Amino acid sequence: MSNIVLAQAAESAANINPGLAAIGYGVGAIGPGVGVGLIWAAVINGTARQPEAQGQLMGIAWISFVLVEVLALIGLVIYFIASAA
Amino acid sequence: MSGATEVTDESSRRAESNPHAAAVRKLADAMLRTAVWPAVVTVLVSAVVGAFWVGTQGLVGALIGGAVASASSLLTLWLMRATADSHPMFVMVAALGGYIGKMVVLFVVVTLLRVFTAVHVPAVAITILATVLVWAFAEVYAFRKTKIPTIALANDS
Repeated sequence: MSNIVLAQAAESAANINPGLAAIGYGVGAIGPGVGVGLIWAAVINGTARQPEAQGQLMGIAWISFVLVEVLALIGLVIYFIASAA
Repeated sequence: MSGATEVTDESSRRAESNPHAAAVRKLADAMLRTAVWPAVVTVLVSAVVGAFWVGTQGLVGALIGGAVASASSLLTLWLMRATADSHPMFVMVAALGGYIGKMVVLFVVVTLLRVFTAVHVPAVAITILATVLVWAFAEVYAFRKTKIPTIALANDS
């Protein structure tokens, strides 16, 4: 009897796994989204204070954007693996 | 028709006369030049490893993963070039829009990929991860090697 219950529990856990993975990806995408917003907010502030540094600030912002975006893509890959398991 | 031509001429003239845009474009070119070949090598290595690991499914998975990751990184570089001449406020809108659009499209793509049995899921995932990381490291390397000047425009007082 206990074996049957455990098997059912394992099956239900496997069924909710893709949903949990999708929720985890959604939560994980929030951080990079906030990061991207903060990066460009800093660029807007910096350009307003020092317009001659716009080129430098934009370069720094784009490379930071790339790195922050990688975090979101790593979350996507983990969702992909976890939802397939 | 002539109006569209005038707009194009005007935007290209502004792009040429804006040294800030030129600096961003120079950085985008350097990032693309530095990152593209390491990414191609990564995808090829992943394809070979995937083919030996699980056969055709691994090969197809690695190629699809490499294509997805490369498209994602190229979109960022395209966005960088396309908005080089824009005001930082508009660049923020474009960057956030690009980020959201990319995440939604990639989410749909990888969700649909699970339906197809012709691809090996771990091969796709590992190739995406490896390619994106190689793109990012190469772009950081290019950023460190590219000199961006501080520009004092004549009309700035």
